[in-house]
Amino acid sequence: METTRNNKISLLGTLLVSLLIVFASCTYRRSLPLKGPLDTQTASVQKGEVIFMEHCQKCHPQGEGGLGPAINHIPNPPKRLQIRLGLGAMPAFGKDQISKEELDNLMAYLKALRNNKG
Amino acid sequence: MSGCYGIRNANGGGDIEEIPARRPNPSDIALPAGYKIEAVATNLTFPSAIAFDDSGTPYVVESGYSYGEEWTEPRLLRIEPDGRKVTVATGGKNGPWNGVTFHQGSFYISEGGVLEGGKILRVNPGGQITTMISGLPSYGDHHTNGPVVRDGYVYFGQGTATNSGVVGKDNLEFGWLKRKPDFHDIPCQDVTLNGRDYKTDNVLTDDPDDKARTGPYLPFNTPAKKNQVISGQLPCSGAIMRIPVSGGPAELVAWGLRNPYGMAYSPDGRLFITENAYDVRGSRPVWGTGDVLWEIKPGTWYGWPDYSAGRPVDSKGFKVPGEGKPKPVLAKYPNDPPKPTAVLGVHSSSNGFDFARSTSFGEQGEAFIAQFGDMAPNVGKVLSPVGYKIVKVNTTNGVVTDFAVNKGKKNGPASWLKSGGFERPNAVQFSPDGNTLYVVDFGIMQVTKEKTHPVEGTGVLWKITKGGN
Ligand code: HEC
Repeated sequence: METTRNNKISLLGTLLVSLLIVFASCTYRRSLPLKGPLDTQTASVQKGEVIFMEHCQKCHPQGEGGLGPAINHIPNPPKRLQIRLGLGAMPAFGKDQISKEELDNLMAYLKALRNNKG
Repeated sequence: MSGCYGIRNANGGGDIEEIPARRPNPSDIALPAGYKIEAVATNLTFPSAIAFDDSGTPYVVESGYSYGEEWTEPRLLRIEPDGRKVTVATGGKNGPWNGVTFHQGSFYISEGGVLEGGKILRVNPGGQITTMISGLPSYGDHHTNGPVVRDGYVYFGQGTATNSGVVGKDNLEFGWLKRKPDFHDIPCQDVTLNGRDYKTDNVLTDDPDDKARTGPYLPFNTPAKKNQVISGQLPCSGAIMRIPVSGGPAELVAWGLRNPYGMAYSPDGRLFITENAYDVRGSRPVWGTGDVLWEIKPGTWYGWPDYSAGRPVDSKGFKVPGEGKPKPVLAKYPNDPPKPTAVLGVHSSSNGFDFARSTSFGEQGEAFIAQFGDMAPNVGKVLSPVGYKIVKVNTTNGVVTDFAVNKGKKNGPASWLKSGGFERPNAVQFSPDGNTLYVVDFGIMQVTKEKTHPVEGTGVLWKITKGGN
């Protein structure tokens, strides 16, 4: 039962993500040696970077593919959904792990990373 | 739940159909503005580490053994200014030589010891080798690593025999279980088992109906008993140990580490190590575990085989998609494992590292780590190549930033990208003046379901300096 429900959400999520991918650029790479430092360096972005390192970097190094897929081309709303629901093989992150405020900072960082196109 | 992940394309960086010629090309590597990279020496066979003598001359060790059960001759080579290699010392058939350091006129080498057990060797500049300690438990999956010399001691790492404590079919595939059917992990202090063990085929007999039951810290086909105490011993597996520079028995520094590979002191005098985390293989696979940069606190247990990066393996996120959750095997723990300094890419094989300390290079205090890159599918599945680059880590807040990466639409080794960039960086080391970062690039290693094929003569020594354009 759990499986069916999740598969449905997963399908919805995937559709949503695919729809929004029109914004995607041709490479998912955004890291320092390729694109230079992030243009946006607010306190929120910096805090968000630390959250990313604690919870996401190991599977999405610098937002590129790795154990998980690349995420740098994905806009924030479906990302937020993915983090809280953990669709597919990825673990979900509840408020006990990433608070609302931390999630906002994480989103600020992910946006800055996504926009870092050199 | 995991249906989608199960059918996603797997794509490790070793997954190449043909072995291309190695043609190093610095312009295929991206660096932050102001830095430049060049190739110093080529045609090395399985180079693993580098050290410098008092005059700043670089010396590289060639490992002499590689995963894929390839044996060559371990060598210590002096690298001349024109890139020529002069052999200083050679080892026997007991590689891999995993690390080297220079201290007061001698080289210290960690000899992995797949066939005869691990050793720490002292080599004088004339090439004479003295064994400082032998018989280290290196016959298994992971070997003797390090070393660094500090305050009159040689510190070294010793990897575990197995992925997660239990000998199984994967160890037959590694090649050692046939050679050493009784070998297993050895705890550094007494551990109490909770009685969990694992049923597999008896891979040591030909009868398909013959089954085996194997517990942790026990030989293959030896079941565990509830509350069974396994006595701690020295030397042990999965530990940092040390011996006096003047010689003497191994002393325990820290344990509960799976494969403590790289080792370096920070400029402010703290010992750090990189740990290669669990694979998705064998009787007790663990998924999604990042390699770790740890600060080593003497006397501490770091969590193997029941924790990853400070978190229990039965907590959220370590379950293999489509399979059961890993379960603990110990009844109690020596201490709560510490919090990691940084968590690095899953399967990145974050290996040798060093700290920046010169104003001319910049980035003082940052740890620069060589990532050998994934060995998927043998270690588990990845969706894209992981590693194959140099990252830097801020040890205060755990932020990991790419420093030197191959250019291309995706990340991966040169042979996979069809470029002239990095293959598999295994170690980085700053020159004694701190102005140059040397990168030891192991060379091409093809990894497919069928075989692990390291390619002789494809290793490269690179150097990175600041002050280009
Ligand atoms: C243990 C590994 C792991 C961790 C940690 C992890 N992810 Fe994921 N992530 C995955 C995997 C695997 C998938 C693909 C899921 C699937 O298809 O089954 C994924 C998918 C995603 C997706 C959707 C990508 C797509 O193409 O639809 C986003 C967005 C994402 N992750 C963001 C994050 C963020 C942000 C974090 C940190 C809060 C994070 N992930 C932590 C493994 C991980």
